[in-house]
Amino acid sequence: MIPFELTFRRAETVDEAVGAWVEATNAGQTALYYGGGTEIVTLARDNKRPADVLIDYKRIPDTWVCGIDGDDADTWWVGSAVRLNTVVDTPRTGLIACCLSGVADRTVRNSITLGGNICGMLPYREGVLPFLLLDGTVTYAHPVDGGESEVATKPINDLFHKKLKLPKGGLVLSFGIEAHLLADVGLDQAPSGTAVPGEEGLDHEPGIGLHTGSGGYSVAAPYGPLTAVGSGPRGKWFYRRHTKEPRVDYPLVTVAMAVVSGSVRVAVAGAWGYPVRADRVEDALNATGMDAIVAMDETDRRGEIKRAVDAQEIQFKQDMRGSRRYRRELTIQAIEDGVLALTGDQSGGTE
Amino acid sequence: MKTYDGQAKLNLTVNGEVRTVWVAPADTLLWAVRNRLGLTGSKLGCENGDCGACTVHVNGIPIKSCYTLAVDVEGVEITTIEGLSGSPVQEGFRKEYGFQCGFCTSGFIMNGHALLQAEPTADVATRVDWLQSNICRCTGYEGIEKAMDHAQVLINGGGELEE
Amino acid sequence: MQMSSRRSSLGVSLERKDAPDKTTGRTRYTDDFTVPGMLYAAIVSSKTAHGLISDIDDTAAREMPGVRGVFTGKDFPQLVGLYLGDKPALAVDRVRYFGEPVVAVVADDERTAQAAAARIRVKYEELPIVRSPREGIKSDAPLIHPNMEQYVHIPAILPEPGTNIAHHTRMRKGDPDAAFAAADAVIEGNYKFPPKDHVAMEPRVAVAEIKSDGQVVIRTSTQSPYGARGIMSRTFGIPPGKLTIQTAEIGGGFGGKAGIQLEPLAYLLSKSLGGRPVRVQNTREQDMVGSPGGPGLEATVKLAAKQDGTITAAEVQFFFDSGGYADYAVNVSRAAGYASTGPYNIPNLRTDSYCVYTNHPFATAYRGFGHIEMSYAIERSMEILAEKLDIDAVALRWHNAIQAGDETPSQNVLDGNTGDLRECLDRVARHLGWAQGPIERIDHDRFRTKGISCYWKAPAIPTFTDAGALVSFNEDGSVNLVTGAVEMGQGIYTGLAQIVAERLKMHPDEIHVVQEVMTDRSTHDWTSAASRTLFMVGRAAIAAVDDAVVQIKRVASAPMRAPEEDLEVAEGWVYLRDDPEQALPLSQVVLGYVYPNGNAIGGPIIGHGKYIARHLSDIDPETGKGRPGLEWTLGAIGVEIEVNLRDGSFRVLKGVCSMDVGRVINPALARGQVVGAMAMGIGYTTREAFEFDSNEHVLNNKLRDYKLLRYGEHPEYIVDFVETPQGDGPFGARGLGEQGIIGMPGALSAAFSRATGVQLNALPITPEYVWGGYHTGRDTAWNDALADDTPTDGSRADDAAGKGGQS
Repeated sequence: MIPFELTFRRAETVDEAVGAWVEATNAGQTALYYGGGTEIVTLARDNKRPADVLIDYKRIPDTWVCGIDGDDADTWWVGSAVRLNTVVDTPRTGLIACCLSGVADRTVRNSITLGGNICGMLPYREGVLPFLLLDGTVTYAHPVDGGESEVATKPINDLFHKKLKLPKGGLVLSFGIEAHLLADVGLDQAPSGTAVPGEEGLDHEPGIGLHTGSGGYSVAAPYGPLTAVGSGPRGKWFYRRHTKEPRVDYPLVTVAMAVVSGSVRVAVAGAWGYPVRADRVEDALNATGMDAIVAMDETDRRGEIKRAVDAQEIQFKQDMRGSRRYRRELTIQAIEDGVLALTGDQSGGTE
Repeated sequence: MKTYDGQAKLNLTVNGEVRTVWVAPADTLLWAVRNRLGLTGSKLGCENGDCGACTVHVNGIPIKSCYTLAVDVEGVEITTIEGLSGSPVQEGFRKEYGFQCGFCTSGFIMNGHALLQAEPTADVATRVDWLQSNICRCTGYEGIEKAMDHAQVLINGGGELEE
Repeated sequence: MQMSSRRSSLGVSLERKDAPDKTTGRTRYTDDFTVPGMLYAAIVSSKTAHGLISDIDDTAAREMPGVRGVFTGKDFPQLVGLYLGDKPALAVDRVRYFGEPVVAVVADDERTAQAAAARIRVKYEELPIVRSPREGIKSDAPLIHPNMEQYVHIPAILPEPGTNIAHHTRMRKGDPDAAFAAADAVIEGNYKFPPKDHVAMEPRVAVAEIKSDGQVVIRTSTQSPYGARGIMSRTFGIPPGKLTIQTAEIGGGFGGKAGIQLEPLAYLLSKSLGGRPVRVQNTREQDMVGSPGGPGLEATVKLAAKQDGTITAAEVQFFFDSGGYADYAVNVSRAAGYASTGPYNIPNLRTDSYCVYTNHPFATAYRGFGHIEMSYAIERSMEILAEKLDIDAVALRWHNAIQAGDETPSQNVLDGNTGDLRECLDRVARHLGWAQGPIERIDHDRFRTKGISCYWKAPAIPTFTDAGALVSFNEDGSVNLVTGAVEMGQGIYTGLAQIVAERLKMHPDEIHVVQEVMTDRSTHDWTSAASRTLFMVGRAAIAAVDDAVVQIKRVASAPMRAPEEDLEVAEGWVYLRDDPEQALPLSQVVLGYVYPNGNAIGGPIIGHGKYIARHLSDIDPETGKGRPGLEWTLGAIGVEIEVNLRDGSFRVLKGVCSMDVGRVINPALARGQVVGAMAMGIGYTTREAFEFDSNEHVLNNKLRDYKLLRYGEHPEYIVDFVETPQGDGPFGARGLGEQGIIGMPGALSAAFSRATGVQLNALPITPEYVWGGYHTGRDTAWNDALADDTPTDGSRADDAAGKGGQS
């Protein structure tokens, strides 16, 4: 039971939502945008009062997009109110589906929204990984002087440092990835359609999940880490998620990698606590060259990967789920496996 | 913009009936169905979205009601275990010893029923993906696995059901 | 009447009587009842592991509208305890563990109560912390209960004032020193694991009210309605007839709802508020940490053996981590003591089993009741001995398996009712394919290994443990059964219906079992625990039926004009044995027989039955001699696991259990108990444990962080019952509810040790632990000083099978 009173406001438009935030702030109250609510309810129950006013943004049409927008065929969009499973269950979203399906459990993913996962207070934010990796954008509204709202679109790598740094009162409407990048790595048949939670319900397209192996990617092993790979005409992607024991858990390490235009990209969650586009790891790997690394013997290759991982110079997270050294080891293993998977033939399967 | 403050009057559609309830915006759907509607089949196991004993359907989709504010589900179709009858999953749980203490059972059945509605031929991996959302402490999951097998045979035919 | 070819009700997998309600959400658990005028309590828990309460500021809480009272330990100084009265309902002056209830707020509604609780500020003066039982027994350890000498306790429990020892069990048998001196081989091992929780899915809850005539009524989720009544009555001076405990079905117990739980606090709060009904319900977090869990253990075991594997002596030290209070843990440590050889015939024994206070959450009964802890230490030692002697792990166990005629640690000779352990072991080895070898390499990193263990358990119960049953009848001749047994998932009402049906040769559908216990109208029953319910209540139910049958014959003999001894009762009829055509339906007899002219005789028949444990005695405080165990259930567990040594990840592929259960009453229910216990054992071994920070605060008090086995992680289960009848059990049956868990830590540890080539002597066995053991070549649980750059290359042997494998 949430041990205090709060106010719940359901915004129908961007202006209403941002206006409600301004209104609350002016009244000396704290306000939070409310998506699936799972994290807010959890914190509130622990008497960590998240806010006085919750502003539900799920009825705002701008947050429903999911797919190639008619006006902007160059970009694949997914709205911040889209529930994680809506994306997970959409065919051929490979890496994106993988990253989202690692969050919580299947039932909870029917509630969690993409905006909630990325902008929430928990540090893992695995939903952001594909956007970091593929140089995505974030479109958000924020209040400007006079109580008006303004909408901006910016590269996510400019705004994401441990978490998404938005102007005060900022509300994420959607995330985008350039369509050609998705096509390059084999995510070209991006999903379309909208999900309107709370009204027509969550669109549920059965059929595709991590396990089926039919979405242009494959997974293996009934225990231990989840691994998936996929490929397109000009690139490949690799995904690895490692939990302490049951898969329904926060990650020890989640690694998303892609080869785009011949160079490798790496994004990591869990290992360092918060998600990181591991630019220094990328630089180190690309400097040596993926093919050169693969050609090394096992010991040299491991040494090379280890140096690349340590080049990021962030201390590994240590908590009850795993020690620093174990997280580091799993990160090294994941990136080593990723390098091998991404430099193989173009068929992509590892099964 | 609709604002819920103090005590809010909600029209909830639960098990096919429109029910008017008074709740605070901070009240969860679980609290509302148990304490306002007397539907105690949904259980409070952790109030933290971890155990799944509170699972109900919103427009046929399973969600954890301890994790959902009641004000957030006004106007949608809510189904609790009390609204489910004659589900092959219920029969499976009954015939195959899919429960012991029964405390997690409502949630498991709601989730299992939603799964087989969505994917009647769900394979092992899909079942694992869905049913890992719930925790059972008694059965070691063997009875639940057999219950789902039983339900799938009822739905899809094939296989053999023991009498 | 026509004698039909009626099937026996025994050995049949009857559908559970609670199935229709439990699959439709209609079963009512304690929290599903509301009482008009009910008030709600919220608890403020300790935020320190050991400290003196220096100040409680409850002003802001008291000022909140809707708050009816704020109470602290000073309001309720009575000490409550099962065996040893050491615990107040709310901490008085001192807190002894993180999560201990300190303040209770009662309000009109739940939100107000919790909001008020959040406004209470408690200040502590920190005290030095006892972090483990071995630390606790040091002579300079901080004392957790400085006033121990004032505590009231039962004679069988021996607290040692001036120490942190709540109880010390000594078992002395033969001449262990001589046996060690003469041994061909001696091994010694240290083993440990932290405290943990039961995690029954239903959090504990109690609602108490006091009627205007002083009648106290408590509805509570307890395994122990009569136990709670007895303790409450003794502690608070309530005459037992003025105290009614009501228990509907409970959402899992596993020992955690035995004894006394939230009932005293609910009662005291109600009493302080004019008898108004007050609900005390744990949140999940409070249920895990504030209320008791399972004990931790530190153990040292030394075994002496001959070259041929014959074990000649054992020296056993158990240090149970009881946490801040003793509760059931004193008896848990005692049970582990009197079972401390495991199911092996070891003639010379010196066991010291200590129950030690620490600043951890306190411990109570946990499925297995000391035997899981004991078995873990003994089975680890068996593995180490097998390695040392280079004897096959199964052969070593088979060779030493205890049998009828052998002596237990408490020097009882096992009688002919003893199960056949060797047969169980053979069956497990066969199902597991032990002959094909215990280790198999799948690829570069992955191995499949097997592990095996034996277990035994006798219920750790008072010598006078009892059960009662009442049988009455309805107009149609159907039967009502009233007992004191609590349904918590085990299917007891279904099992009892089958036993009664079998005795009356009726259909189990005609046996109506009253599915609720109320201490003012049910029959006295010790507690639904210790795997003794089917045994004892089953015996009482049979006796009640037999009593009713005598009465039925007496009534029927007049209208049938036949001596009682010529009559039989079966299938709903009373009839002449030698001429079954002459018969009366029970419906015409059980509520009285009415002659054609209207004259009536008899009246409602009520059969009563009882059972009380036979030949049990307390054990001698110096030697442990005595008869503490009613019946020993013996069995063996085997597992096959697959481990990826590269990252330590693993899966339990197969779990095999063979157990001598005497007689299977309901195969599906029996299997369900065993399979559920095995799953719990897998969790117990591989993930379940409290994680503490440096201040001994529990970090994982939520199910988000305290991980349980989930669907799909379960192995293939193979359950194979051996049926050597228990002469005094109901139709030969003996207890089986706990046993499946007992051998699991031993069997799994063996398999993991085999895979890594390192004897892993701590729990839980997590992937990181497996990985660390394999890559460092040592048991990392005993020295956590691994540097960040501990070699993870190069140290890998090419063939792990060569390092640790036994075959």
